[in-house]
Amino acid sequence: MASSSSSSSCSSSSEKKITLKSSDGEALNVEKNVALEFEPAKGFLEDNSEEADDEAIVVPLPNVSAAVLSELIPYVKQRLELSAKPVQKKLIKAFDDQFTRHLSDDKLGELMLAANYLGVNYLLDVLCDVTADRIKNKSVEYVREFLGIQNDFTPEEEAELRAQCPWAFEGVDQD
Amino acid sequence: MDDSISELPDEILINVLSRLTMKEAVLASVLSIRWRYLWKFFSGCLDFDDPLTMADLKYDLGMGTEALDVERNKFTSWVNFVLRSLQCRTIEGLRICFDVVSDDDIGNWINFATERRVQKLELDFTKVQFGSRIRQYNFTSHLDSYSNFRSLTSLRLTCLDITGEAVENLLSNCPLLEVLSVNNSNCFKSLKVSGASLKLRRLELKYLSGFVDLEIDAANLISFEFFAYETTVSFVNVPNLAEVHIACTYSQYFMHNLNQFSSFLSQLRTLKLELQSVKVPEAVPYNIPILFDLKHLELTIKVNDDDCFLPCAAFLKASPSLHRLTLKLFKVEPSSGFVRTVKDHPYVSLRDLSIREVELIGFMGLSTDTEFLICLIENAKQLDKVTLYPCPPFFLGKPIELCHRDTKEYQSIRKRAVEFAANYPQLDFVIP
Repeated sequence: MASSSSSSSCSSSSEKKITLKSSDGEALNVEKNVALEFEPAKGFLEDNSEEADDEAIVVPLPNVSAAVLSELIPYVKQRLELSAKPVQKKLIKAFDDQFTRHLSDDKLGELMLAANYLGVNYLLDVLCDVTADRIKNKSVEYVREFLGIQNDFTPEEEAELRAQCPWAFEGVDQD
Repeated sequence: MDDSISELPDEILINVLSRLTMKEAVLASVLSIRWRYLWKFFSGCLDFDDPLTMADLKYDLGMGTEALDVERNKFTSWVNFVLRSLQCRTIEGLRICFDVVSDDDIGNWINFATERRVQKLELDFTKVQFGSRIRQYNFTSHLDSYSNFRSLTSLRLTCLDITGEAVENLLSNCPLLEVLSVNNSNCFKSLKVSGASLKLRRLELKYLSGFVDLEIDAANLISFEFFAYETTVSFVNVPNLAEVHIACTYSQYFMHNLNQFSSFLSQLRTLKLELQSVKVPEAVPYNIPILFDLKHLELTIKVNDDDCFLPCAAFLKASPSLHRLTLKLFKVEPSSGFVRTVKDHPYVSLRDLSIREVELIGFMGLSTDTEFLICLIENAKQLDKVTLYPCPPFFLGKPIELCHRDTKEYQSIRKRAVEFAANYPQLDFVIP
C-alpha cells in the first residue's frame, strides 16, 4: 500500500508528511492525518495553511519529548486506522489495553501530560482509566507515593479531615 | 509516577477520581491540600450501600426499632452530606441500598438523580423487618414529567411502588434505557413492553404482587428474569433473548408448558430455573423441546425424596451443547424414609453428556446428591471441573456464610466432599 502514495491525484492527506519538532530538538516525520490529531499541531497547520508545501512545515511541540512522541505517534496512527474501519468497540478496547498494559508508572505520567497538552482526549481517557485502576483499593500512603504527591497537611489537619468522613475510612488499610 | 501528576489540571485528576468508587474519591481528600476538595467534582457512580449493617440489623432484630432508627439516621445523613457536597452537573450513577423510610429524603435523592441527569439509578429500600403491609415509597409520583428521566440507561427499583403504566411511559420516554428491574412493587398490574425503538436489553420483574398480565415485544432483549406467581406472559417478539431466569410458582407453569415457549427455547444460551416450590415428579417435563444452544443450565432444587433430580436429568437430555451445569440444592427432610437415587429410575439414561463443568451449591454428601454426581461424572466424558460448595445456596456470598463455615455441620460436609474428590484424581475439584 505504501507504494501507492504517488499514484493518484486525489491521494488523501494521510499520505502527506509533516515534521514535528520535539522539546529536545528532534525532528519526527509523521503523516498529516496523525499530526492533525494533536491540537497544537492542528492549530499551527491551520495558521500556516497558505504554505504550499506541507513537507516544508516544521511544527514545534515544546512540551513533549521525542521519546514520548515516538510512543504516541504509532499509537495514534493505529488507533486512527482502527476507528476508520467499522470495527467493534471491543477491538479498540483490546488495542488500548495492549498499549497500556506494559506502561511503567513513570511513563504513564509522562503520557498523560503529553496527551493532555496535545489534546488527544481518547488516549487521555484510557490513561485516566489505567491510573484509576492502579490506585484502586490502595492506602492513602500508597496513592501518595504512586502519584508523587507531597503531603502538605499537618498531622492535625489530616486527622481532622479523616474525622469528618469516618465512613470513607472504614475498613481501609491505614498502614 | 515522578511528579508529572502535579502538572496536570484539576479536571484530569477529577477524571481519574470519577473512575474510582465514591469512597475512594473521598479518601483522596487527605492526599494533599490540592486534592482536598477535588472529590466534590466526582461524577462517577455514587454507591451508598451498607450491607454489613443491614445484616447486623436483621440479626439483632430483637433489640427493637430504636437501633434501626439510629442506623437509618446515620445512613441518611451520610447520603445527604455527600449529595449536598457534590458540585458536578452530571452524575453517572446513583445507587442507594438501605432500609430507609423517610419520604422526604427519598424524594430529594430522586430529584438529585434527575437534576444531575443520572444514567444509572438503583434504589433498594428492602426492609429489615418484614411486616404484613409495610408502606412503600411511591416512585410513580416522580413521573409527572418523564422527560426528567431521559438520560437513564439503567433503572433498578426494589421495594418502591411503581405502576405498570408508569413503566410503559418510562420505556417510551427513555430512549437510552437498556436495563430495567422492578422488584417488590405493590401496584403492578399489567405491563406491555413494546416499541420499535426500544433499546431494552435486560428486563427483571420480581415479586410483583397482583401482576397478572405481561406482553413482551422487544427486539433487543437479551436477558429476562421473572420471579412471578399467577401472571400470563406472552412473548410476541424476542429474537435475541438468550438468558432466562425464572423463579416462584411461574416456574411450575413454565415447566408444564415448555412447548409454548419453543420459539425462544432453542436460542437460549443460559437458563436458570428455581424449582424448589415445584412438586416433583409431576413437574418433570417429558417433552422438552431441544435446547440447541444452551451452554449453561442452573437449577435450584429441593433435595428431599425420590425423584428430585429428574427435572435436571430431563434438561440434560434435551441440551446437546451444554457446557456448565449449576445445581443449587435445598435440603429438606425426606417425606418417605426411602430415598431413591436417580440411577435406579427407569426414566433416566444419561449418556454422552456434553458438560465440562459441574457446580453443586449446597452439596450435602448424602446418597442422593452423591449418586447423581457419580452419574454425571460417569457419563460426561469431557467433564474436567467439579465445584462443591458445602454451604447452602441462600448463605452464599452473604455475611452469614463466614459464620456458617465455623459450624461442625459445614466441616463434616466439607470433609465428605474432600473424600469424594479423592476418588476422581483425573478431575479438577474445587471445594471452597
